[in-house]
Amino acid sequence: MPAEGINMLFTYKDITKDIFEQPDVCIIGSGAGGAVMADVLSGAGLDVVVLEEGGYYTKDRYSNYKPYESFKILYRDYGATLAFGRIPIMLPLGRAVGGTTVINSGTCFRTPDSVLNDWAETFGIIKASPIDMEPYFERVEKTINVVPVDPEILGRNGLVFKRGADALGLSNGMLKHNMINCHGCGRCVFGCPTDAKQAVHLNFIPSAVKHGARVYANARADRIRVEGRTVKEITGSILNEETDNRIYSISVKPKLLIMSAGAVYTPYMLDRNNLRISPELGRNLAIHPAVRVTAMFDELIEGYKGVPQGNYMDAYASEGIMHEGIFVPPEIGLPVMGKLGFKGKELASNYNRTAAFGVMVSDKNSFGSVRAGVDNRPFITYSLHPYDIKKMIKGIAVASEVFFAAGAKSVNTSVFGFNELKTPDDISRLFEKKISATAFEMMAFHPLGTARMGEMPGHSVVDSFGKVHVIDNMFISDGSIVPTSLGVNPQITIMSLSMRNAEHIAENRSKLIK
Amino acid sequence: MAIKELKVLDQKLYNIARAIAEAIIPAGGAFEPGANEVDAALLFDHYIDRLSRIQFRFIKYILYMIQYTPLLTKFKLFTRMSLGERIKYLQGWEESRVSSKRYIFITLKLLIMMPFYSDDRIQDAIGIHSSMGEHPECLLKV
Ligand SMILES: Cc1cc2nc3c(=O)[nH]c(=O)nc-3n(C[C@H](O)[C@H](O)[C@H](O)COP(=O)(O)OP(=O)(O)OC[C@H]3O[C@@H](n4cnc5c(N)ncnc54)[C@H](O)[C@@H]3O)c2cc1C
Ligand code: SF4
Repeated sequence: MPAEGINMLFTYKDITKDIFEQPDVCIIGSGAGGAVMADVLSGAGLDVVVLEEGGYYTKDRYSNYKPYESFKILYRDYGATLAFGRIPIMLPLGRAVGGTTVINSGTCFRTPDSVLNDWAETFGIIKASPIDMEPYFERVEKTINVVPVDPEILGRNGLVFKRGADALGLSNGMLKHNMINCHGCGRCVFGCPTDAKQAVHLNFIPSAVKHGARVYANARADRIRVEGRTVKEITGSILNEETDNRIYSISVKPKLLIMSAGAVYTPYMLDRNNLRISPELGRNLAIHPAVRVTAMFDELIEGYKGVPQGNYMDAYASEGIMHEGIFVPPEIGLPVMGKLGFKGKELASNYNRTAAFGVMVSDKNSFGSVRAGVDNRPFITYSLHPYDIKKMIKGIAVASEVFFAAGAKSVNTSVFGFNELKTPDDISRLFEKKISATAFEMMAFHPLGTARMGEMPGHSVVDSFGKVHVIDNMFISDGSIVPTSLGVNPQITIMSLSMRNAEHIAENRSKLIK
Repeated sequence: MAIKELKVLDQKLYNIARAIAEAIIPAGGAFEPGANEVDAALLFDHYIDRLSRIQFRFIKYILYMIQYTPLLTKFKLFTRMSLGERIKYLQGWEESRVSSKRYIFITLKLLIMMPFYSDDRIQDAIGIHSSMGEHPECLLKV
């Protein structure tokens, strides 16, 4: 029996034998890119099969888990996928029907006009100007219900930061989120327990299924067989969700393959299959490196109540520095913020008075890559450019000023050697000597760029609509085609490009689907 | 600890994990219960049951490193050190100038502290209820 209410969404429990499929289109991955593709192409009358390695979860399943258990269930590698360089950077990825949108913060930004214009100029990308993209942004935002966060559910963590930013006259505001009836429970990154957050498994995927798409959850694509310039077959495994062991095989012989496994797993899979479709494949990884700044207050904050990423400060956005809310419950926050021993317990008992905000930098100068590694995993490298480190330090200094202006007793920067700032005067210490990349505790949430778009084959992996230059029936549609760092959260960009590219495929089906 | 309750650690690794957990979260101080009161080492064992083989090997390697490296400087196994000595020794990892050492320790701290601070008894003790399942604390009641 397929998943209840969704006739053609199959999980491992519904499958009792090896599967053979011969659809028009096979999509690998059901996240921001894959789900939109599936909906538009099936809506255009094409026969679509989606393979998704993760399970199918809705509020009924994961609302009973504690937040930390979600790392085991909804994330890859317990949320600890690592990029290696001078420091390891944690790069969490979702693994579920709906991909990373199931565990993201729900923040929605359109691609900045300056970025779209830059793509046209630098990469020759056609038909993706701000005017071209406008209708796609609108349709995506309507489908996933993008609205500004209601200040009533922002919570005190966001409010104290706003108070500080206002006191300093720094531009800030409420973020837009994809949500319906959000009640500010603070669990967005562990899976929304009430389905208020409109991740793509609640809209694009059910719509695709309604149009006849067959979505296989717990179905990992392993091999891609290509002959000459043509993809012939994808073979994979149906996995037991409890053990991740293979229980059946799946073989798909599509007329067109769409890779939507994300900016890490798309290049990894292609490399693992020796499909070196471009020297640029797996290169140019941008991740939006981010750090947290925390502050102790006398007043009660209870930061875990309210939308964790409800507001932003864009006063330094033109310099590539964005400040966005973050807050996690104590079981996640304390291990990274706290000290061991009795000091750590003291911090735990003061967690109610702790506030936190995130600093994210647009990484135009740093450089990362993805290729196949050991243990059936990608090997990710990333080295932070000194210029981006400078931006990070500035972002931390500004966030510290904001917290002090809001009345913080002390600020914790998470930069080794500068952990506690006791007064605003301490902030200048951050600029006194050179801080190396190894001093930061960094995370990143937005992998992009590893199969970038462009009209010059030697300089890009896919064309302006996501078609792989050197393979006749393969497209890529996920974060990997986004050619540069965006400076803002990427889900709307990925979904809108996917919608545009899907329409291009549907319009040109006679040429592309043979 | 009956070995059959353990999912992935053997008794020896469990003992090391228990000694580490107690040093990370000792009993007493700002609130009473410590790691051993809720058997944080057992919670850790249950939490890591889905690590890949390579990841589990890495965790085992960290546990053994912490157990045996004090032999070189303190002439004692980690599990034979007093609580105060263990806290001080692990502070060396937490505050190390070598960033990879700090990162390895954060990983271990995360895996031990997450289940500990998620335990209802501990959330009661610190007065925070952030993981209440279906109806977590929220600003607007549903
Ligand atoms: C904690 C967190 C918070 C975030 N918050 C925000 C936010 O607030 N706003 C925002 O815009 N962005 C946010 N993001 C980022 C955003 O969610 C992602 O950029 C976006 O979902 C990426 O889309 P994608 O299609 O490239 O990949 P994904 O959404 O990751 O989808 C890829 C899918 O492919 C599947 N897959 C991979 N390999 C295979 C295989 N071999 N076979 C079958 N399936 C496979 C994966 O399991 C996954 O489900 C956040 C990310 C994280 C981790
Ligand atoms: S704050 Fe809670 S209800 Fe609102 S979207 Fe996030 S998880 Fe869902």
